[in-house]
Amino acid sequence: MASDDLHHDPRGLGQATLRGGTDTPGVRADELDALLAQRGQAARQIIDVETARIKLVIFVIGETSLALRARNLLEILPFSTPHFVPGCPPVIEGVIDVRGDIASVLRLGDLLGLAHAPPERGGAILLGEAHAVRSGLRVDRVIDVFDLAEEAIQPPPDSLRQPLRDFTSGVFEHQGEVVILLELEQIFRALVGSMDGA
Amino acid sequence: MTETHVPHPDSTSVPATAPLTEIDMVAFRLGAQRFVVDARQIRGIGESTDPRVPALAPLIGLPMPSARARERALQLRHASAPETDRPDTLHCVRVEEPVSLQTIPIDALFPLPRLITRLSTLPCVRGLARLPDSTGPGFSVLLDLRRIPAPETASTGHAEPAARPGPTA
Repeated sequence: MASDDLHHDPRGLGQATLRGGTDTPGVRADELDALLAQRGQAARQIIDVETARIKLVIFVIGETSLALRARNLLEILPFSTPHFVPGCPPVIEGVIDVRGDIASVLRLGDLLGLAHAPPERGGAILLGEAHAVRSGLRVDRVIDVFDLAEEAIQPPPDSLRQPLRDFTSGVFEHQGEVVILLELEQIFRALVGSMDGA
Repeated sequence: MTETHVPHPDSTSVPATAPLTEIDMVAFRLGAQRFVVDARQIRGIGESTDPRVPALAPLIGLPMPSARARERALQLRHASAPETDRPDTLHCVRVEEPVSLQTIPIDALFPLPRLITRLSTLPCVRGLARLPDSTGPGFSVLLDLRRIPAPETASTGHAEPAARPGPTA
């Protein structure tokens, strides 16, 4: 047996194979290694796609479908009439009792320039936390909680109007509807940060 | 004529170092809203017949009480003499009945959520309180009367209410 017929296992296990034995005919061992490495890389890419999914809560204000990242939401509460607190701007509807704690309720639609549906049609309060602020966010209806591949998110269209655009990081399609992805961090920063320099 | 003197809690026998577990609050209404103030800020509760005494409601952005509302006058106790000498200092305000003195546990007091603290236009609104006799959900708004904005045109309530303070309780 000629010595060049021996091919060492690239994994360094001390094993040797004969060309034309277990190797695929016409494919050199180093080529096979490259193919296997390529396949392994493909498998890792599949895993990467899985980890790039984000959990979103989709809801409606008026006729507009919106979403927030679930990581910024602590709880979805049924709508209860907030307790009015004097001195609050109109965008703050009041406070609610969340199992013995107090949370403000933000009229999210007013902040975004969207008209809320009448409260008698039902609604929800999303308890959100970002930028060291915890507050309820009044929405008209919660549609879905689901995972979305991050690559499915497209940049906000130029046609998106202010002030909604300021708080939008992208748009995506869900059940045939265009959904606007909001960033709670930007929403709370705009509210609290605007007072920092005051 | 009835007049209630609210004892100054600083004069009680509770040692200064004892942890505060309860606090006396004067509770009242303004329209549909319930409010409480630290009883230490109230010197007395009297009848309200002096038209120069300003109503509290418009001072904090609420509608004027209806003509049918029964009102009482809260005489305010200010911390320092120089403050009481200021012409814009409130000395008396009108609130709606029922007015009551209540002792509530400290854990029934809640600071305002951060968003409201930052956005509120009324520094006199300090928090919320869940009164022990509250029926159903809801809170009373905790006011700091020392931070009430003075009325722009009306009297600051420097005049005493028609009812003079009665004997100390």
